[in-house]
Amino acid sequence: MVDTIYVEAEIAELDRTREIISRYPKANRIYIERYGEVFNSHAQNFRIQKRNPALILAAKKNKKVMPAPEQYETGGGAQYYFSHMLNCVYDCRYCFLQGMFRSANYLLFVNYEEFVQEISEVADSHNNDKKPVWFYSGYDCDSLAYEPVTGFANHFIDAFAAIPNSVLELRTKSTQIRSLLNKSARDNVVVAYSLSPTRAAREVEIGAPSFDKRLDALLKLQQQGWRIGLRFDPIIWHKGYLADYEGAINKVFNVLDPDQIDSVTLGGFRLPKGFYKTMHKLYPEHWLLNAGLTEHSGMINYRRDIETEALDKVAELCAAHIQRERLFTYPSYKQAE
Amino acid sequence: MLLLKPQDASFTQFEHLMEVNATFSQRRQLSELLHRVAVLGLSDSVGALKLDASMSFNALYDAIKNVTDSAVPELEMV
Repeated sequence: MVDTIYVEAEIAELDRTREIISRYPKANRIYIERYGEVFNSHAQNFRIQKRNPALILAAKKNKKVMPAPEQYETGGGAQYYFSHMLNCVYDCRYCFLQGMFRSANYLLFVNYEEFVQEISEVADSHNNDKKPVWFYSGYDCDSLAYEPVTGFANHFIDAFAAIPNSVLELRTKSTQIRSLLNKSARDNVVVAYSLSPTRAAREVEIGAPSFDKRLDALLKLQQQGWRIGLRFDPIIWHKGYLADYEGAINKVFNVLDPDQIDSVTLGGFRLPKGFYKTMHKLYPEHWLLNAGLTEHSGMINYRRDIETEALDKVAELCAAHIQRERLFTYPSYKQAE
Repeated sequence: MLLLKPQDASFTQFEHLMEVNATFSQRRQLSELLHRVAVLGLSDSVGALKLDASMSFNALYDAIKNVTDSAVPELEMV
């Protein structure tokens, strides 16, 4: 429950701002000039703040749409990402957000219309491309977890209907899919779920819906005709992990129609070294941040032997159910290295 | 001199190894490695090595690192 809301004065009178604030009638309201005063302040402890995050409502200035790294393709054309929100309601131990931001407060940018305007302009610049432009949401937050408050998906799915050469990919672990189920499925929206086997999810994806609940949400979306994606990323290495992944993958492909899955992606644990050091200070006791890792090109990732085995074997498990052209792996090590 | 001393029994068990002849940076590396030993529950394996602070830093460090590198984390049964 949010008990403090910081509001930038500039957006205080927007309908969306008022609507969000009205959901928390007992919350303290503090008006601020710019969100950085609160969000970027030095004297903050992410781990302590995470227990009771405040909500910051602000306007995103400057660039809102950023190019996504080429290696993370899922079969589309040019790739971009945008973040209407920074920080997440979940508390996954591998999440880079806890290494990147000083604050665990939820920062929500409410100027959706300006995001859409910039997305449209970027899409226009790719009018002659053969493949649609892919816009990812969910790098700096979970796309759907805060949906009842933000109405983000509800707004952007409709907005993307008017941007025909584009695809919106919503990355999530959330079961907050009501706003999607209330609409007819759209050709240019993919809902991509991060999945980990039950045992691993319980230990590292704190606060996130269980594997079974995510699978249930995926099934509902698929049955309604939504394009769905599966993201086994990061693969969590532990004793018996291959058996766990085999069980999870078999279950996923038994429940879902493999022919109607847009893409499956696999990735290993990877973090910029600076983020890793910050996270290790926050959670020095967690096995995930202490086992099987090494430094490579400024990144902390699994040792090459571990990552290669994990990606190859889990890819094999997936390839038994889905064509290779819809299966993408993101190795940390280049083949020739 | 001790650095980054974790408050756990297994670190205390190997505290004497920090007396190894080493630089500030090396001691920090060793301290971090011993922390990993504690987190991953490898105290028995490291104890079995019967290490001694009179060893060279590299020999000491490599011996412990071999143990941590070969450790595979176990999840609780669900």
